[in-house]
Amino acid sequence: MNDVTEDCSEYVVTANEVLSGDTVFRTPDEKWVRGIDDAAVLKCEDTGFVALGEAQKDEHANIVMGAYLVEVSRESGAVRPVHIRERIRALGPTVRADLAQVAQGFSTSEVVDQ
Amino acid sequence: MNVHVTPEPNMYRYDEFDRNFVDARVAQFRDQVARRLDGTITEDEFKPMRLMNGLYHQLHAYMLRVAVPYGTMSSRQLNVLADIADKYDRGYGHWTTRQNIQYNWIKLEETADILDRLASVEMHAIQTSGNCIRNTTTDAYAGAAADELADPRPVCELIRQWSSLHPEFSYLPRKFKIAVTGSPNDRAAVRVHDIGLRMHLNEKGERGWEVLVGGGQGRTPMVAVTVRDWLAEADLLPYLTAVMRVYNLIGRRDNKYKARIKILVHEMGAEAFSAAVEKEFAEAPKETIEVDARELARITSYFAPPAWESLAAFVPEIEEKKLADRGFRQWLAANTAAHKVPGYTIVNASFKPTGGIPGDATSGQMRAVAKLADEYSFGEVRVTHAQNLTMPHVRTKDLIEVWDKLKELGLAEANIGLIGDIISCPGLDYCALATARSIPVAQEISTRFADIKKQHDVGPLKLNISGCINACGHHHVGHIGILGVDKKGKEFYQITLGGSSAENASIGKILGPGFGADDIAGAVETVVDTYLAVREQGEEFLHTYRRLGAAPFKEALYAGN
Repeated sequence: MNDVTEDCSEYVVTANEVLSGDTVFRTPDEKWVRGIDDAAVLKCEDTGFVALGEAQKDEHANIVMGAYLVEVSRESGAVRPVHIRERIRALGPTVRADLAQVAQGFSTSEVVDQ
Repeated sequence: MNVHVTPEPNMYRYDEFDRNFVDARVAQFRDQVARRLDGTITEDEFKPMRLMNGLYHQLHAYMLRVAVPYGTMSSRQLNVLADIADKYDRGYGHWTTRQNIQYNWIKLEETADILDRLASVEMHAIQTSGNCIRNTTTDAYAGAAADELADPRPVCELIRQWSSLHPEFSYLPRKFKIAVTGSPNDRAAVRVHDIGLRMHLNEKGERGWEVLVGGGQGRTPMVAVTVRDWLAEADLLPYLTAVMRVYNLIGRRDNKYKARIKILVHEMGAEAFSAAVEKEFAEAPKETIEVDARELARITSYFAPPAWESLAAFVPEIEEKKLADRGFRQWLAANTAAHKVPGYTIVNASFKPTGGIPGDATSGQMRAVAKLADEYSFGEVRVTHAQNLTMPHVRTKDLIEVWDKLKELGLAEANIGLIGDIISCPGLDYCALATARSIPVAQEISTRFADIKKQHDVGPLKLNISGCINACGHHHVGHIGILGVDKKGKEFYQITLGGSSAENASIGKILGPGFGADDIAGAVETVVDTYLAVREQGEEFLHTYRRLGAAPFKEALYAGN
């Protein structure tokens, strides 16, 4: 992951897998995973758009749909979306602990706390 | 060992045409999915096809909305809905405010299999999305309520058959919702639908229909206006066709936010709109679509009452239990309703446990209610627009047993029609359109009002929550409404007061500045406490608000700020 030395936001590329509909994130080695912790963190919007352009090739290949950039921040070392909508989308419903992204070891409270 | 034979409930039936059509539609969708997955069609091309089959893509996954025709289903169908929840979802579903069920975690490749399973019990997901005539809704107590003039479901079924894939009305300017009530006490919210139909009887005892048009919620809430006081039943479909035709021809298509029929009625004026409909109605040929009495009689025969027994209305052990057991008394008062046949009672299963998710049902609960329906309610179940289930025909003498069993299932919270019976959309926890969460707010409010005695002291109070301006949680017509919005990245909640979806329908008015997520439940508590302080003897919340207006509530909430 990049160091944050410049004064610009960080982003990850997200999309939904066509087959399952699940929320997925783009990794540094250009794969898609369900856990945001494994996402490639892209420093500044320009870098993000370059990565997004690459990711969109997978839309044409019917692997994912609706790829876009999500602004993230670091919280206790973890990468988390800045906006609550994207936090819930990344981590699961806040009202069903059993359905949260427990596979990644996230707790539902992490979704709520901003 | 007893063998329970499930009687086939009194409801719609597919004929050969219906069966073939739905089967063909499933096969067609299976092919469309295959073509989407092999890249023959893009997501943009596929989206309208999946939506026509009820398949959305929401915040986390695909969501499938299954139609429950006018909220009526059999125990057999409910068992299949449970099976689908287990096999294809995560063990639960969500009752919606339009009497349907939604599954939140559907896989695209499995959707056609689900539709196949639904078709096996005469169900589908057609027209649960898109700019078409959606699933018609009605009174959940239809065919059972003591106060109804007649069972409205035969007319609902007539409308369903007429509107299903109607070639002229499959690409309307926007979605279109019809609600029907056969009772003067409106439990179907007909005044906030695109078309509402209210049954009346004339002096000869003949049925006719009042036609209301242009109601709705969303970002521009409006109460429907009556365009016909009396419409003979035979003219129902020609008249509905005339309404749809006027809307389809001159309804706006340039702006989706101004495309609902309520905007057309508002912009034209009720009188001009009504005149346009009457002209169309007068000029259009009716022979092909007027309601043939024999056809309506055939449909009505499907809804013939079950084999009710001749029973005493007064059951001594029930009266004794009422006196002896406050919990039973509260449950009876809130969760049951008067049946039109002596010795029978309408029973509601509350899917609003304290601190729970309004309207969520596990597969186990679905199967358990299906079993109860088989044992106690002729195998019939209804979905209510308040996101609960109803067993319409329970013998009064069985009420203690049914109460005990519902308690074991966690479905006997004595809160129907009270503040704990919160209507809530899925909100930002699931919905791609939402701007704030609804469910956690509902959970906190219901926890604050966990004391059932207090709920009963407060009395009838409908609290509805929506997580965005689209108002799927019906906040505009809640006596207390809550609208969640996004304010600079934070959830914020506006309170409206004075809404109603009943026969005296009204749109709630915004009380004042909104509240943050941490403060909204406390604000609701203040509103309720204010009502308790200012109400007159026996006065319900809505009446107090209508008598006094917003002033005492504003004073209590904002005076210190």
